[in-house]
Amino acid sequence: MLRRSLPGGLRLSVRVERRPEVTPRYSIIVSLGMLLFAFLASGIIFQFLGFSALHIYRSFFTTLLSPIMLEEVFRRSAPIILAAIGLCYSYRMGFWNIGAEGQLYMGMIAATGVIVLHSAGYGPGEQLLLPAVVAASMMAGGAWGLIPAVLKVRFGANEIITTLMLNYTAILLADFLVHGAWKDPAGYGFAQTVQFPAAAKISIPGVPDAVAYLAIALAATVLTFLVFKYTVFGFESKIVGLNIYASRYAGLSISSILVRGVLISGALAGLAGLIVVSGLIGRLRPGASPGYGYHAIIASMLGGLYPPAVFFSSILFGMLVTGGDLLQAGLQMPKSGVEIIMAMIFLATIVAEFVKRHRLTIVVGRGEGVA
Amino acid sequence: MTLESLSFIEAILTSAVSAGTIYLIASVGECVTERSGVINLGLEGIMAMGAITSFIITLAYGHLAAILAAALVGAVFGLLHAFLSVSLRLNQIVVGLAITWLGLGLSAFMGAPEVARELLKALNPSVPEFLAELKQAPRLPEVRVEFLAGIPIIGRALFSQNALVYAGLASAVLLWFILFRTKWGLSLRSVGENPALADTAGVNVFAIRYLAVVIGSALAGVAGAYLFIGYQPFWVENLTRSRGFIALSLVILSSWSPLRAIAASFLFGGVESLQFRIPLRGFGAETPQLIMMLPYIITIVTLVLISLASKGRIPAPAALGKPYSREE
Repeated sequence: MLRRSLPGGLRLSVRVERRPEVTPRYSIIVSLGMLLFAFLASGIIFQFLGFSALHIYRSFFTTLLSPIMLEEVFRRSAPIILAAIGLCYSYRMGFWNIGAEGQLYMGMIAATGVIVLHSAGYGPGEQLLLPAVVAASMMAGGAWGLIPAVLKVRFGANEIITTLMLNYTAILLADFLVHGAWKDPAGYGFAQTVQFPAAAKISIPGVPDAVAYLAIALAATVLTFLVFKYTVFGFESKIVGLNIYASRYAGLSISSILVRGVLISGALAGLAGLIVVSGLIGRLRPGASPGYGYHAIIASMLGGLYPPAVFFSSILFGMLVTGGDLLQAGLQMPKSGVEIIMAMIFLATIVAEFVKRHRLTIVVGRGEGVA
Repeated sequence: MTLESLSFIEAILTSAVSAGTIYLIASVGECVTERSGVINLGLEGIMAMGAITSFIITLAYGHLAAILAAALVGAVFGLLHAFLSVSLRLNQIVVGLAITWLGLGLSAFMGAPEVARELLKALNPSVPEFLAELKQAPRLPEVRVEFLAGIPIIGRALFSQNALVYAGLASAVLLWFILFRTKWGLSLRSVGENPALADTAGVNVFAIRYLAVVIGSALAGVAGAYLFIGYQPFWVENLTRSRGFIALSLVILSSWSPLRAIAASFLFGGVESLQFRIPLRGFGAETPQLIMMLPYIITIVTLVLISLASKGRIPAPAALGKPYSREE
């Protein structure tokens, strides 16, 4: 509780109480309110740094809602959705996996490896190419996630630090390969690999690519929703996150649940990497991901780790990433402007948790009567 | 030993101290913060803010103002962290990550030539704007301690550096003394071990945690300033490259002691400087990426070794990461 004396004998008191129950409707209203607040606060920062916030937001939304840009938004949302849905598995267990970006990069590297082999005349033929890249990317992403999970359960190594370090390692590995052994000999000296052949691309005949990618992301979302709601594993992973001691008493093997959950996280991030490398840019090159794995972190938290909500919050991030390029191209404003908006959304998401759980009453009164 | 190999060792040590100071200033501050029971994962972003602040302010008003401004910006970010994590009792991990994000995004934005130019113009119109677009600032001058710098092997490393290196060493000793030899330090550590008990004993848990977070964050800001004007005075986006997170793991390696942080930081400074020395010897000159992975991989290995050495009982402050509330 906070009390302040105001002039004229008035007393101002702010009372903070725990809210016993949070209804979903109230929760959504608070989240949307805080989202609005995030845009407002970033607008103030832009204004302060000499840009017109109104101008930015107006051109942002009118351009983004045009059909062509909307398709781009959906294309870019797909990897964010997949990685964010994957992160839900980690976060609901209380495993702070910051490593989706690295797992995504490993997915890209493994898929590209299959293509490089294929173009050299080895490895799978045309028919098996798509299943091979899917399997390779998911396995590589999962394996990269497995490292911090095992280090955590075996050595208690802080997963925030290990996953972050592995992000840099994976990004550097991709750089190393595209500058060296995997460089396209016919690529005019550019640091990039050969292009993904059509047989290795995810597509549904007669449908724009964006829809195909979104369909995969939606399938992962629905599947995850069902896993969380109806399976034993979904229940166990939630219990591990809620109370690690109680779950130990209940005889759950926390290590095994944790490792499995993070494995799924990594595999989905790896699949996101496949979509980036085979679909969005068609080949591996340095900086192939503008940070989809990081955007996924905020998206999954903004969606409250609830898969349907995460799906939509990821699309918001798809919009922001696309909007970032727009800032640079159309408004001569640095791309990193959207990073500020994202950070503000992140902060607002956290504060929203507090607002949801507490009731604030501000009382202005005379004397000591009200408290 | 030949004269040549002696001078090689001398050069390695000198660059280890030079690079290690980035980690030293940040991890010494984080030792204080974590001893009070708060973990600040915002270190990375605050360092980035310190670096960009020092870049623009150095051009506008010179080095001293730049260092002070970086500390001030760090302190402001620390206040935000403390408000969210200590007052609102929100999850310290998430708060820290959000602050890192804000710091990285804001610093990247401010460092872009079109923004940096305007900022410089607003701060000091008499400085030519194009300086901001060159993305460079004058480096901190070396301050040679005449007699001591002549000591063989370690002389140059310890006594022929810039002022912030000395300040970093001094702050490590000073904060160690405050933490472990003063009443105030005892209060701070008790807050990190058992806040409820400290509270009953009349210690202001909230004030101490606020102060500890602000001190740590201000130092992280200075670490960022050192990274730029003291170490690599050329602005690139993502200048910090996860060094803030490495500093966090160095706090564990130094078992929360500012004195041990000196050794841990210089060790990692050595690893970092190897990145530039190995390619000189021919390996990885064209594709240095594998060598650049070294600090990250060694950080992971270090965390595992610490766990093995302490047999799973890492002596972290008992209340680290736990928000304190009188109600519960």
